[in-house]
Amino acid sequence: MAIIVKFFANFREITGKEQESVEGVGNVSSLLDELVRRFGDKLAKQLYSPGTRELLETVNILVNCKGIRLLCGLNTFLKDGDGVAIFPPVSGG
Amino acid sequence: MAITVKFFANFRELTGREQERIEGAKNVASLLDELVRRFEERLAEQLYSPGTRKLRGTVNILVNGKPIRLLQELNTPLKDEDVVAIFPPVAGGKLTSDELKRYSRQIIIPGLGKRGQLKLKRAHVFVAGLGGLGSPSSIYLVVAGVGHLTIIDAQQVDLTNLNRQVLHWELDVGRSKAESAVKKLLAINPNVKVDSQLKRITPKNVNKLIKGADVVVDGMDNYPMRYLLNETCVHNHIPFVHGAVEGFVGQMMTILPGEGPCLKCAIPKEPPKKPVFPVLGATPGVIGCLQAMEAIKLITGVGEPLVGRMLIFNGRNMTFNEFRVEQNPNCPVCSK
Repeated sequence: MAIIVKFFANFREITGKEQESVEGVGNVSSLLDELVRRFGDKLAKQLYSPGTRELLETVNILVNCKGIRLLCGLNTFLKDGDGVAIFPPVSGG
Repeated sequence: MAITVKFFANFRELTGREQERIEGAKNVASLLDELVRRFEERLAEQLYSPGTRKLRGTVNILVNGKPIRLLQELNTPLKDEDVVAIFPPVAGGKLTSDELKRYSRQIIIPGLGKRGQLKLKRAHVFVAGLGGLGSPSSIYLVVAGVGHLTIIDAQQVDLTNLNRQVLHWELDVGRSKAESAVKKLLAINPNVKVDSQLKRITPKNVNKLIKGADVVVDGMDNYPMRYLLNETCVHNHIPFVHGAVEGFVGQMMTILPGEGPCLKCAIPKEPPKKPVFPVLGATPGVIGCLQAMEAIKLITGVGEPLVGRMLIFNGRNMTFNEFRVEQNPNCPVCSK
């Protein structure tokens, strides 16, 4: 079993993948570390405020269908079999 | 002394007046001539069947409280101090023969039928914002025969709107979006009632504005307003069809209070506001049409609404994807 990460919109374009399987990470923060290791700086730029490890306000992450900003943020716990979605909400109308 | 003409609903929107005083009209036909002289083609289009001087079936005229079809129709005589009321049929009632024909291609959709059509006729939809999303959504709601549409926007039409806000045309630049929209929508389908409001939605007026609506459609361009609508809809148990766009990407989700997550569950924190956002008109065209479809499904009970699923449209690679969203136990809006 592993954690399945699904990418949407520009995250799909940056990674070139619809989803990625990641093993051995205990929380969202270490999951993102692993994803940045796999997909490089271009992904880091879309995730973090420049020069920090703070999630950009343009990024929304859900763990098991729930927004992490209403859970424990980057410290939200992950276990095998969890599903993660990463998407950039748009705001125009 | 003179004859007093009182306008209601659409006719008040079109003339911009509650009433008008007319002198020297001998009968209803000559009264209407004079009104058309004053309020021009836009009034004639609402009164008469195209290319004729025959009153549309969708227009009711009362003289001193009596329907003219029980008097002498257009030849009903008038004298000073008479009161004439002009109004469209109220949303509701039965389907007219005109309506049965107009909507015949959707009435034959399995599961929709005359029953569904009647539900649409009796429905009231609130479209918040008349921009890139509100334009297509209100057009498709009106052509489908939603009996009562309330549309609201505080802004004027700007040239930069025209690449996507298809209800507003070059000649409308500088005009209010509410006024521009109501004219087009009533010209497309005079069988429905359209209320337009030239105002901003605020925490103070939002409850009153959406009261009585069966569905609220999100046509806003910012999250503070969306969160306000989301919260008010959740508290009033009104379905809310969220949509948003940027560039080639659009997203949507239907919030069915009590049945699934709300907008705040899906997007707990607003993305930073962009004063100018990039957008191709076809993107809100896609999402706005889908929002209208969701509203129609909710009203008629046809199909399965987009509850607990965020749909992401990406025009760059022409994909529709979705992810599941669940009600968050910590949600400040919908969780108790």
